[in-house]
Amino acid sequence: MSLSNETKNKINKFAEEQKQNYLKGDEVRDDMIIYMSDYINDLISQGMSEKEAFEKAKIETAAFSESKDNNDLKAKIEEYYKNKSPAAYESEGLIYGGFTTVGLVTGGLIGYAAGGGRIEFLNGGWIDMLIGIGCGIVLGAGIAMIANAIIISIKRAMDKFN
Amino acid sequence: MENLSEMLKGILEGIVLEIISKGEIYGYEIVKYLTSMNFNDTAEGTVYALLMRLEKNKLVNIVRKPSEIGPPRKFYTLNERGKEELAAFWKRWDFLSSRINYLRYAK
Repeated sequence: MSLSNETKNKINKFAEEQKQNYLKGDEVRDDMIIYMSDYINDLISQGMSEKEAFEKAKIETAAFSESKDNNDLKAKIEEYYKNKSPAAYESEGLIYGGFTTVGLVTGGLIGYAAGGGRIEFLNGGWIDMLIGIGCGIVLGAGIAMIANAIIISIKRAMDKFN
Repeated sequence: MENLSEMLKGILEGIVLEIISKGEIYGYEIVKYLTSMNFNDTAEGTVYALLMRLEKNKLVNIVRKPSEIGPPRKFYTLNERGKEELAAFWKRWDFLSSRINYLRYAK
C-alpha cells in the first residue's frame, strides 16, 4: 500500500527530528522511515485512517528514546550523583566558599578605599563599601563557577584518556 | 494475554534472537511474528530499540535490500555470537523454568 505524500513528508520530518538523538543519525532516520511506514500500512489495513495511523505510530516510535544509548547516558548520570563522594561535595563547597570570601573581602576593600577611607566611611561612604561587597560576592561566585567548570573539564579529559 | 510487558522485559531479547534464528527477517516482520504469538503488549518501538541493541552488540548480520518506500530495508540473521547468546539464553531459561516449576509443584 502506498502512503500519501503528506504522510510520507510527516514521517521524514519526524525521523529527521529523532535522528538528532543518535550517533548514527542518518542510519536511524532511514530505519525509522521504513519501520514507521510498515507500521502505518499495517494499521491502515486494520481499518485506521492514514492520519490516525501516523499519530499512533509516532507515539509508539517515541519508545526509541528509551534506546540503550540513552539509557546508558541516564545510568551514567545517575551513577555519578549516586557515587559522588563526600570529599567531592566538600571540595566543591570550598571552591565556592573560598572564591566568594575572596570576592567579599576584595569588594569591601575596593569599596572602602574608593569611598574615601575611614573619614568618608562615617560620612556616608559606607554605601560604596556595601556596593563593593555585593559586587565582590557576585564576582567571587562567578570565578568559583569558572574554576569548577575547568576542574570538571580536566577530570572528564583525564577519564577519557584513562 | 494482557499485562505481559513487565515479565517480557527480561526475556524479549531471547525471544527476538530465537525468531531471527529461524531465517532472514526484517524489523516489522518480527513485530508481526510477536503479535501472531499474542504478545500484543510489546510496543513496536521496543522491538526496534532492541534490534538496535542487537546490532550494536554485534549479535546479528545485516543485509540491506532496496525497498519500495525509499531507504533500504535491513534484513537480520544471527551470526556466531548471536547463536552463542541464544544458546546461553535458553540455558538460563531452562534453569529458571525448572526452578519455578519446582517451586510451583513442590509439596
